[in-house]
Amino acid sequence: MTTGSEALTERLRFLVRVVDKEAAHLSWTDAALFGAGNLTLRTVAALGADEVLAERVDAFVARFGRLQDTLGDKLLPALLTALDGHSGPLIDNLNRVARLGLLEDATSWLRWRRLRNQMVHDYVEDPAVLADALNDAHAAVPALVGVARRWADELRRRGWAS
Amino acid sequence: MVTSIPQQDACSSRVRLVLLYTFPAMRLTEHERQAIREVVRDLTGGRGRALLFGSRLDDASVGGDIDLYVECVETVEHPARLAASIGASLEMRLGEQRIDVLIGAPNLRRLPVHETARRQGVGL
Repeated sequence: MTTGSEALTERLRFLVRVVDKEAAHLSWTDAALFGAGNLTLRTVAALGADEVLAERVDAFVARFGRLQDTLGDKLLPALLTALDGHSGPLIDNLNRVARLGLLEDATSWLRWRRLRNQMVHDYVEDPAVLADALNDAHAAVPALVGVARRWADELRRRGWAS
Repeated sequence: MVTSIPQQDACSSRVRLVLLYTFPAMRLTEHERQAIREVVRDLTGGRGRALLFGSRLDDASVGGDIDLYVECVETVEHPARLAASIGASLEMRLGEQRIDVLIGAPNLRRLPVHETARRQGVGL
């Protein structure tokens, strides 16, 4: 930890609390939406006529995106700043945190981010693409939540979060 | 354009025609073109063809997204995953930039954007 550490520690503590909540919310919606397994093409094609399911899909997409953004755009720069005194562009940050053993694969992170554009049911017109994006994001949830847990644990281990 | 080339310059006009055929207008560096070819080949198992369409075909324009159309002749079981993987791999190689990837395959809907991509698309 470097200069300005008190404000940085406070920010890290705040972000860990946020990430904990966002990960829990995503896990809940993920279980609710995919409780019966992957979404079928038929289910996804009928989203326009099922407001309840459409709302749940929206919640999943929003929560997936929110957790990833908080982790990648907020917690990751703060974490790297605490460790090394600086952070950089997202891809550099991802590669750095992967070298530290705190992320399996930087490319997967970018892939998850790109999936998000393909799971907005109001404008993805091919149900095959929409279903695949949602199911792939569902498959990525354990890894994304795992990253949240791993970073939070690392910060707690160093005494930078409670 | 090659239409106004004088008759006495016929030899060089043929050269220019060949060059235009080989290197059609597009604002991509050779490094970018090679990265796209390799990533698409690797992630489609050699069964996808990459075409550039959209604003990067316009030499008079500046910047803009890289719009890629990846045409597959066989069924693509995971189209969203494929598009996301191609985009992510290209971002890793080329740095963060706006790269849109559209997949075309026999099992996917043929939307107006696919027609535009096929009509405009220039092979890489």
